[in-house]
Amino acid sequence: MSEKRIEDRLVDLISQCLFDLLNDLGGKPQRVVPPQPLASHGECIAAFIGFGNDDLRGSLTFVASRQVFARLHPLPPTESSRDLVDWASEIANQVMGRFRNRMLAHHVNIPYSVPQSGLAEQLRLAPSFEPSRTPITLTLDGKVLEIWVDLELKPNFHYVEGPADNKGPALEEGSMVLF
Amino acid sequence: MGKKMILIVDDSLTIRQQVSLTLKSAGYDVIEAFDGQDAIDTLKKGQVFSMILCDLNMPRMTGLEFLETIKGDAAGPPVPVVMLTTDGSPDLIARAKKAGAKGWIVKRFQPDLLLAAVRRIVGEPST
Repeated sequence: MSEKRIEDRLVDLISQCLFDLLNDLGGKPQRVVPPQPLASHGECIAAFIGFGNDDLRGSLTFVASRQVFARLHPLPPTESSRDLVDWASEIANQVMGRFRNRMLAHHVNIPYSVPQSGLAEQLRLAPSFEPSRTPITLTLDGKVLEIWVDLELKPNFHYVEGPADNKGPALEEGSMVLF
Repeated sequence: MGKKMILIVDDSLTIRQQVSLTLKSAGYDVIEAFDGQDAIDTLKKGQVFSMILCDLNMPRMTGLEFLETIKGDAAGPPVPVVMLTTDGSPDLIARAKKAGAKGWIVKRFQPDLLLAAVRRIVGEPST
């Protein structure tokens, strides 16, 4: 059996971070294989976060209907676009934070951007011929959350095999240290 | 008796609301700032805070830049600061500790954990 490409392993890791977060938020996500584009042509929310260092660059783009982000929202039900767009950014931020924490177990440090998000109609992520772009489709209560992982590794990229659970030196989610 | 005032610094409205609701329901007063620069501007207004809860990844001025700015040349910041972030990187935690932070909490947001930290650092809500 051939070894998975590093790029595919990183996409798997991002996917795992996403699943873990959505489960923590009570979302019960289901993976759709093969990935399917978002069917809704109504009002959608998109969130974007970029990351990179000298040997790697990439981004995560999230697109879903308002209902998906409302379903994941941690406060009493909200229909406010402002709240939902803000929450989409925070989800992107938290997935990225988890990915960064896991990558420390592989001796890779990935700074990331401040997330951005917005509301749009008729928003679709077009199929891309870019080999660096991998779509992930999830459903939550039958509604689609689409994530595009853009990832480019340079020849110098160095990935150290770490623990199977990808837990390394980072302080775990949901924990604290007081000095 | 006055209530202890806590400054919440986070660019996410949702997180500010979550933290604010948690602290208010426990009896603390809160003021919100949406990034490090806004927090600096808030401090300049002269309000006395018992503690600051600060995110890391924010526009204009990050949480660590904010912490290092208010510390200045002193031994530590004028108010106890606890970082509340998605990031658990040991390098960043060490940098925050060096700049005088009193703690580091990694989201996901857990009200009990937050309140435990706040009570340890500032005590009960009333002065």
